[in-house]
Formats: sequence, structure tokens, C-alpha cells
Amino acid sequence: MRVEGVSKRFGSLQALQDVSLTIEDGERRAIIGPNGAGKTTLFNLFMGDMLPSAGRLHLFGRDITNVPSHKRVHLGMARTYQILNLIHNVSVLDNVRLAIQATMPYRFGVFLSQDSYRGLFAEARGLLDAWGLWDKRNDRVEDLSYGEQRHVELIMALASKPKLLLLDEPTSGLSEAEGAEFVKRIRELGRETTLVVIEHDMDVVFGLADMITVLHQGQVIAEGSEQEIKGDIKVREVFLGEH
Amino acid sequence: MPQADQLALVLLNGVTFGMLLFLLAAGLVLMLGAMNIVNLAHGSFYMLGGFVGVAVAAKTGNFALAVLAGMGAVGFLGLVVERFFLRYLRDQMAQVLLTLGFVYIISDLARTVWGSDPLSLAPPSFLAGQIGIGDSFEYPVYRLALIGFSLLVWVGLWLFLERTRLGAIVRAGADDKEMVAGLGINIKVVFTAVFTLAALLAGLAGVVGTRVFTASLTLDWQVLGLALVVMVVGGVRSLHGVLLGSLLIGLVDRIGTFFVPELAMFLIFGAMALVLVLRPYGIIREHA
Amino acid sequence: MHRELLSGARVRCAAYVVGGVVVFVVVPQFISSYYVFVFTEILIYGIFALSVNMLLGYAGLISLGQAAFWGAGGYTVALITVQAGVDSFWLCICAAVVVATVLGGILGALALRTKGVYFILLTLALAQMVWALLSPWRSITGGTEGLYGIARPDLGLPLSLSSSLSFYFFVLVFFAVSAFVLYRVTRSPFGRVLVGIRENEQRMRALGYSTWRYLYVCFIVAAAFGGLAGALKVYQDGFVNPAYASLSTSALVLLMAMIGGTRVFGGPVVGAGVVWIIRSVVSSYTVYWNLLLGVLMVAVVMFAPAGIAGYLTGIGKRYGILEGRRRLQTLR
Repeated sequence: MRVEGVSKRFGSLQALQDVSLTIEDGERRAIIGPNGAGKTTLFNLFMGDMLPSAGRLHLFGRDITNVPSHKRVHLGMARTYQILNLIHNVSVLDNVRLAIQATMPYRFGVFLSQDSYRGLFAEARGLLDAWGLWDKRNDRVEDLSYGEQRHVELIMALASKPKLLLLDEPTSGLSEAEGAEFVKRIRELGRETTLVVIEHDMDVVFGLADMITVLHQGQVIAEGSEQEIKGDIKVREVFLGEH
Repeated sequence: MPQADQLALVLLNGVTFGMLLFLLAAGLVLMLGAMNIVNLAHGSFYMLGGFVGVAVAAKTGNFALAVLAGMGAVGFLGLVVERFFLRYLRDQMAQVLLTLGFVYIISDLARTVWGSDPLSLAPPSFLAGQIGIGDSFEYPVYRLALIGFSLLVWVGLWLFLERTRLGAIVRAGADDKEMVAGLGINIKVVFTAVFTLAALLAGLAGVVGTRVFTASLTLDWQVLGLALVVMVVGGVRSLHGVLLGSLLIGLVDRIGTFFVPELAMFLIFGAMALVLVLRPYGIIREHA
Repeated sequence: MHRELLSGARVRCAAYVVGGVVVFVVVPQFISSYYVFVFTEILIYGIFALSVNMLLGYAGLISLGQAAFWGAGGYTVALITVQAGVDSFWLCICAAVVVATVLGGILGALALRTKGVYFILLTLALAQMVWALLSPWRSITGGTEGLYGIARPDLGLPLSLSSSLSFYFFVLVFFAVSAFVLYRVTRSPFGRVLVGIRENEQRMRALGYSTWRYLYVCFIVAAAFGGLAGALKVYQDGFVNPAYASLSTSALVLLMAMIGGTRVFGGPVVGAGVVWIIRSVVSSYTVYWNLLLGVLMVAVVMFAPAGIAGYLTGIGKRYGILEGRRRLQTLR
């Protein structure tokens, strides 16, 4: 993923200004910064949930600036949301099935019942089993505990077997233990999935990331390895009192 | 020249009709702007106002009383609908469907209580008759009075929205409920007030409009359709837009009916569709 | 594993089928022809309401313009039969569906440029345009009086369809096929995606679905079945007029779907039944049947948003205890 000179305005608010970064295949990148730094906005631009006011985005060598978000998923991108963005009034199982189905050729099928797609069912079962949610599969997703919903949020992103996975504060709202567990599972994802994580929790960041990008007020103020970031004065200033 | 006279008549009729539509559509826009509700029963409010007004006039022979009765009845109904029903619905779609239910209720209420005869309300004596304009042209005083009165209402609404604190709250209410609530203002009461005001306007329009708009049992749907067109064409968030839109639609309707009667309705709804497809915010955009 | 999931549904399905057969096949043979007429109306409106519910209940779109397709289907049949003098049933029906589908394609492409309230308004405007076109062209469409003299189709069968019972069974076949097709669509991957779009369109796009396309196809499907229903209605009544495409017709069918229940597949049919029973039965006791409809609608919206059928099948309550194994029927 390569982002060039990307900016985003909302009326008079400049959320992002001339941001450029390059994320390599198989990399684990963390994006950190104080609240309002523009991190989620950046993700929105990556994913196509919003269009940039200026700049270009490239994915796997291809210019995706004008590619709509639903097509980006088919190019191998997926994301989770900081504020849970699940499909309500629908069961856990169906949430996951919808997520898997999205990149399947039969997603336009009108004749056969969705239940009859055994492969879909088996794959959903596999994912839910791996995260211990199979027993809750028929519950409405909004009736699950917060931690479980976070799991589902992640499962839905994993369902399309993305090559680039964007995680927006995946441990937000989780207890320390839950968070640590979650991070462990994320780390178990192989290097064929490139990871970009927005996080506030520095332990998570340092335990997970190869490279860290620091955003402040819509601009990249530092970028580098854990050591470099820890030693960076600008970063220290910005985070004074934060950690 | 007969041609010019006829044209003048048509134009004035258009303006009259437009002002009547304005009274209706203003309420619709208020409700949509402040509360994000499309009140499908607004045409029914109009119809009910007309029926009540005529019934009271028949009993008492008093025009002013008829107007007040019409306004009051519909205003009260609006109050009840908002306070006891709409207020409890969060979902905008549910609110729209609820108002749809009330269309049926009001339709029967109006019809069965007041019968299904065509309506006509005699204006008060000081508004009866025609007034001369220019050399050979005469136009009903009543209609001119209607135009004037509606303009007053427009000014009044404008002053209310722009110059009073309550008006500012109404304008802000749709955009930021939480902020307004945070200022310690009871937004629910504001909403009820707005809805009731819109209903009062609709009832008023219904009573005074009986001499302008031929009444029928399908009046509620007819009127609703036109009011919605005005709202869309004029702008769902702008009072001045509503005025312009009303005049435009009133004129198009009357001129259309005069020159190409078959296509008048098509043109009107075509205009609405066009605006929605191209610019859903209407002719005048209001800046946030 | 699969068996565990499906057996309860199979039993329920069988129960519905048996119940359906009793109500729709057995009962009509024993009642007066007036009530057979009512049953036929219920079936025809049932198809219409099911089509509207594809948009309302499954895709989450309120369209105030579905009567445009009902009218398109009806007028197509009338035009072919009366104006062109061609007496072929199958041609008429197919043409009606095709015309409605094409119209759906055009109106859908325009209407779906908007969302929410604007969608409601635009569908209203577009349908009113269609309606407004039907009155003026007296020579073609018969103006405000419409066209009449459409006889029941002559299929060369030994039974004449002019008897209400035989026409009823004729319509029943169409109803069964339509209901079956629409049911399969709702349970298909396509149908599930519609529900997802209804609940959270943005997330569905972020999962990779081209949501506009799904909504567009749904709109067209609804239009097609609306046209079919309209065509059947013309054969039932023998005439057509602009009221077919009127706003009040669009509203009535929404009412049916809502009262019957938008979240249960068969709900709209229940709604059509309820509305018709009120219309025909209640109206012999009192004139206030509109009032009753309105009250019912208000009651449903306020207290039982899942509709009558929803309430009966337990979906109205948050957790329907349908059978021991499943805590909640998932996507219907």
C-alpha cells in the first residue's frame, strides 16, 4: 500500500494534510497519535469509506484512488472499525456468512437457499470455532458481550482472507487480559497478511509492530522502528502525559 | 384585450393557489427541517380544517369563528399526534408510516362526521365581491386578501425563525439534538410546538382554501402530493425557497391547466422528480 | 449438524403448507361466491404486497410508488385486449410483466440515486408522473374513466374462467408460483445480502458488496411482480382506470405489508387478508372501515412493529422461543 500526498478536508477542518506512507508486503505497521490526529480518517481513505480531497492511493501497485470501497475488498483489503460496526438484528452466524460470501461468486445467487451452501457454512463454522463463538452462532450479534462483538468484528474482516488488514483500535474497550489475548491471536496471523493497526495502547503497539507511523494533527511527524520512535523528541512532546 | 385579461386572471390565480400551497408546505418544511419527519397526513390536516370550518360556518354564519375552529381542531389533532404517538418513535421510517396510518383515520373522521358534500365557505362581507384592477379587469377580493395574508404569515414565520430564540432552537433542532438538549432546553416540547404550529397552518389553509381549491374526498392525497412537490422544489430546509417553490408550482399548475390541461400534473411531478434526482436540497440551498 | 438446524424449520414449513392448503384450497369451495371474490382479491393483493415487502421488509426501502407498476401491468393488459383487440392471455401477462419490469428498471435507476426520506419522495414523484400520464391520453388510455370490457382469459380449457371459483384457482396458481419464487429469493444469498443492506449498508459495502446493484435488482423484481398482480387484477375486475396507479393505492399496499408484518415472509399476505376482511366484512356493519385500518396501522407501528404475523410467530418479542434448539429464528 502506498499513499501519496493525501489530504482530507471537512469544510474548514483539515483532517489530514499531505500524508505519505508506504507499507510493504508482510509488514506490521502501527499508526499512533493523540485523539483527533486523523488516524481513523486515514483508514477511511484507505478503505474508500471516504474520498481524499487531494493525493493518490496505491494498492499492490495499482492506483485505487477512485476505486469504490466495495471493490477494494476484492483487491484484498479489509478493515475493522473502532466503533463496532456489525450488522444488527442478524445472527452471529449470518454476520460471518455474509462476510465470507462477499467475495464468493455465488453472492448474487437467487435460487438456492443460503443454508444449502455447505462450504459457506463450514467456513463460517471454522472461523467461529477458532474464536470460541460457535455456541452463540444463533444469537443476535448485538446481544453478545462487548469482547465477543470485538471478536466478531475481527472475524468479519478476516473472512475475505485479506492480504491487507486494517485494524482500527481492535482492543478498544477490552480489559487488559482480553486485550493481550486478542493481540496474541492477531500475532498468530501469518506474514501473508499485511497488518496496519491503529492503537492507543503502547504495549500492544510495541509488541506487534515492525514500523510505527506517528500522526499528529493530520500530519506524519515521525516514522520508524520502535527504538527510533521511542527516542524521537517530537513524539515525546506529543505524547507527554499520554503513556 | 381578452387575451391579456385571461392571462392576468390565470397568473393571479396561480399566485393565489401558490400562496395557499405555501401555507401548507411551510408546515411540511418546518417539520422536516426541525424534526426530520415527512408528515404524510398533512393533506389530511388540510382537508379536516376545511370540513370543520365549513361545518362551523354553517352553524354560526361567522367566518372568523370558522377559521379559528378549523385551525383549532387541526392544531389540537397535531398536538395529540405528536405528543402521544410520534414522540415515542425513534426511527424516521416508522414515523412516516405512522403518519400514513393517520391519513386513514382522519379520512374517515372527516367524511363520516361531516358528510361528503362539496365544500364551500362564504367569505365575510368585507371580503366578498370583486375589486377592479386596471381598466377592465376584476378579481375577487377574497383571493387578494388570501395572498396578502399568506405573505404576512411568511414574514411572521421568517421573523420567528431568524429573530427569536425559539426560532433559532427550531432551526438548530434538527441538526444537533444533543447540543440543544445540552443547553437545557426541552427539545421534546419544541418538537411538539413545531408540529402543532405546522398543523395550525394546515388547518388555516384548509379553511381559507375552500373557496380556491375545489374539495373532494380525495382531497387529502391531492393536496399532499402538491405540498410535497413544493417542499422538494422549493427546498426542504429553506423558508424562502418554499415561498418561491409554492409560487412556481401554483403558477405552473394554473398556467398548465390553462394551456395544456392534460399535462399539468405530469409537469408538476416531473419538476419534483427532476429536482430530487439532480439536487435533493431544492432550488435554494441553505448553508449550514 | 445440518439436520439439527433444518428439522425444526422443515416441520414448521410443512405446517404452513398444510395450513395453506386448507385455507386456500379447501375453504373456498364451501363459501359463497362473494367470499370467493374476496379470497381472490386477497391473493392478488397478496402478490402485490409480497412484492412491496421485498423493498420494505427485506431491503428496508419505503417506496410510495409501487402502484405505478400495478397500473403498468393493468394497462398493458387492457391496451392489448381492448385497444389492439388481441385476445391472447399469455401474451398479455408476459407483456404486462415485461412492461412493469422495464418501467422498474427506469424508475429504479432514478429513485435509487437517493436515500431515506428523499427516496420516499422521489418514488412518490415518479409514480405520480406515471399516474398523471394515464388520464390525458383519452384515445389510448381511456382517460379518467379508463378502459373496460376485459373479459376473463379464454385458455381453451373445459372450465370457463368467468365463474369466480375457477378464476380463483387460476389466480391461486399464480399466487403460489409467485410466493414460491419470492420466498426462494429471500432465502438465497441475494436475499440475505438485502437484509444486511437494510441493517448496515455501509458495512456491507466495506465487506465487498456492490449494494446499489442489489437494491436495483430488488426494485426491478418488486416491479415485475407488481405488474403481474396488476394484470391479474384487471382480469378480476374487467376494467382499468388511473386509480390503479394512484398514490392511495401505493399507500394501501404499504399498509397491508406493514399491518401483516414486514419481517415474516407471509406477513404481507396476512396483511392483505386483514385489510380485505375489514373492507368487506366490517363494511357491512359500519362505514368506518378506513378508520379501523388507520387505527390498526397506528397500533402496529407503535406497539407491534413486527406486524400481526410477526407477533404470531414470536418474532415480535425479542426472543422468540420457537423450538427448543434455536434461540432465535435468524434471517427468517
